[in-house]
Amino acid sequence: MTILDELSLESAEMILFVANTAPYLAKHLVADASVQEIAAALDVGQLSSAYVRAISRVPGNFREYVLPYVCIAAIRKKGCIDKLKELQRAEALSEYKWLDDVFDYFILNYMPTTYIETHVPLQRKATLATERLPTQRFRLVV
Amino acid sequence: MSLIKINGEIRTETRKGSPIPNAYNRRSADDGDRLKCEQLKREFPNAKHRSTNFSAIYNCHGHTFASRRTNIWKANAIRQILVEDEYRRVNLRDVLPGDVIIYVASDGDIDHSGIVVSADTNLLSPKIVVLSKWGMSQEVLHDYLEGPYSKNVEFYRIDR
Repeated sequence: MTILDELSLESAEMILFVANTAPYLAKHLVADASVQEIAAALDVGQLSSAYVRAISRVPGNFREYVLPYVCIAAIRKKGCIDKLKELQRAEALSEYKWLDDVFDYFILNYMPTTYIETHVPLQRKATLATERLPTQRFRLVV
Repeated sequence: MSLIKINGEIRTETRKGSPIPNAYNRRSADDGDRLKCEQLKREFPNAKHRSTNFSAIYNCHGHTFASRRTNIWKANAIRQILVEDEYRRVNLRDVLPGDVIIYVASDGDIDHSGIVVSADTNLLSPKIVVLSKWGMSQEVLHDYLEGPYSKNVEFYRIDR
């Protein structure tokens, strides 16, 4: 039994159950607690292996049905976009019909989440050459 | 005689003739599916859950726009249907039974849709009841702001 087998996917299963479109599934899975737990517990290699195993077997229950989506959401959570592009090329059974759209969503909507903080001078003329301009703090996405 | 396949796609087009990607799956419900239907009934006790139960044949958009025959699951297909079928947007105060409601996520994607079955919009807080199908689960009669989807809604009507 692997760590993945022991983790609950119930909330992820419910997301897939009520999803009407692939973007809904993608967005809600990335925010789901079980996906965060899996992303923290497994490395990208383990997630990739689990994904490749999952997409080549006919799902016998809802847990197996949601598993490939959970794996790629966890990889997205880790920010490994190149790995997602590589996995998208793997052939999946037709049962997993939303995979391509979910991959596209994750890859095309990826935004880096590293921030730096900087101080930017406010737009005001200094009255004296030596006067220091007040600054305002901004968060910049890099 | 032709048989209905377990899963496949049917020919669906907008009035303008653009094809709408779709897929149906006629698989039977298993115990897990039934448990999830029951869970939704418990989570939303004020809604009236129809006895239709699990179905992967059609989703909400298939219910709203394709007569329960298939799943329309491409998010951008719904905007295309609204434009090419000549739907007109309707204000909340003017909503009538038979209008279409769509649920729009913060990024503009359409998450869900349904059909208005009753509307009392003269009240301070409008009372609008919608029939919609929640993914693979059952059809539900619910207040328009109740359910597992976005609370940002738009109403549409076909006049001709």
